[in-house]
Amino acid sequence: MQESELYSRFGQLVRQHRERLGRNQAEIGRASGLSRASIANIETGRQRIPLHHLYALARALRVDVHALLPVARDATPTTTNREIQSAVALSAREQEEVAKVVGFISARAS
Amino acid sequence: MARRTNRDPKFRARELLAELDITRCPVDVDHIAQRKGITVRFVPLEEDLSGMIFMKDTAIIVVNSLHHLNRQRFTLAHELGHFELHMKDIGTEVHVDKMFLAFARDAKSSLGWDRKEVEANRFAGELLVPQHLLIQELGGRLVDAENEGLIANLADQFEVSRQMMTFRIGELLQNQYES
Repeated sequence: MQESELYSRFGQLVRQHRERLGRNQAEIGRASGLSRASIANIETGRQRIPLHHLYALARALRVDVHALLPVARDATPTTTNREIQSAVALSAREQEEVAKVVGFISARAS
Repeated sequence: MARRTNRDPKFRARELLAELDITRCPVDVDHIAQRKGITVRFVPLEEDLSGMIFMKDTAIIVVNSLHHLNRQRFTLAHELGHFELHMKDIGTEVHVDKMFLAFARDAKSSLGWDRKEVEANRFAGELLVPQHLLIQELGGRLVDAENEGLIANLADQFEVSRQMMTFRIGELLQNQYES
């Protein structure tokens, strides 16, 4: 992943979590000890933050730090270890079925 | 302004219909997928799962074959919406759709996917029941969203559920008031 893409994806995650909480940039700035301008710059990927700011942001956004870290997408996935995404949480049984179907179809596609 | 219009899911659905020269209902969604080079598989899945989309050599869409045929058409149209609007965000992941109308606010839905589901639903609505074809089929008849007979007939003509047709007629009425 390009450095710029990494920061812009990090920024998107920050913005999504902030919007989920229904907070504006100034409020998250105050809660994390950063300025509103910093939050705005972080969200657009223009500001590259130090590690301790990551923890402060995660605290302000009430998420684990991992929730703000972009997942590397440049690794080539095998048929079975692809990430499964869904707007509604899947049960373990459903996840298992999805993995099975994807593996099955991938093995036969072209 | 133009940029905004281009990102509108309904506009994208209309563009796709025009591109493939589709001017009649019921809209052949299988044909659309085929023309876009998408592989579609109908597979029995758990009841709550509607379908999924992921990339292999081509985009692959899986539809739950245990659902009613109209529901399968909706699932395919919804996944086509993800294909047209969200492939960049899907990347190498498998995007699964479960219970289209329920958007639980859990950790995953907070990552912007509930907005994308709404977009894919809007795309699917316009693709299956294009507004201009709906107006054409109504042929100047007065629309009443409570007229169950009319709604059932139109739903059969477009091969969509009655709920979908009721919703689209509701949207049509709203658009007419707004314009």
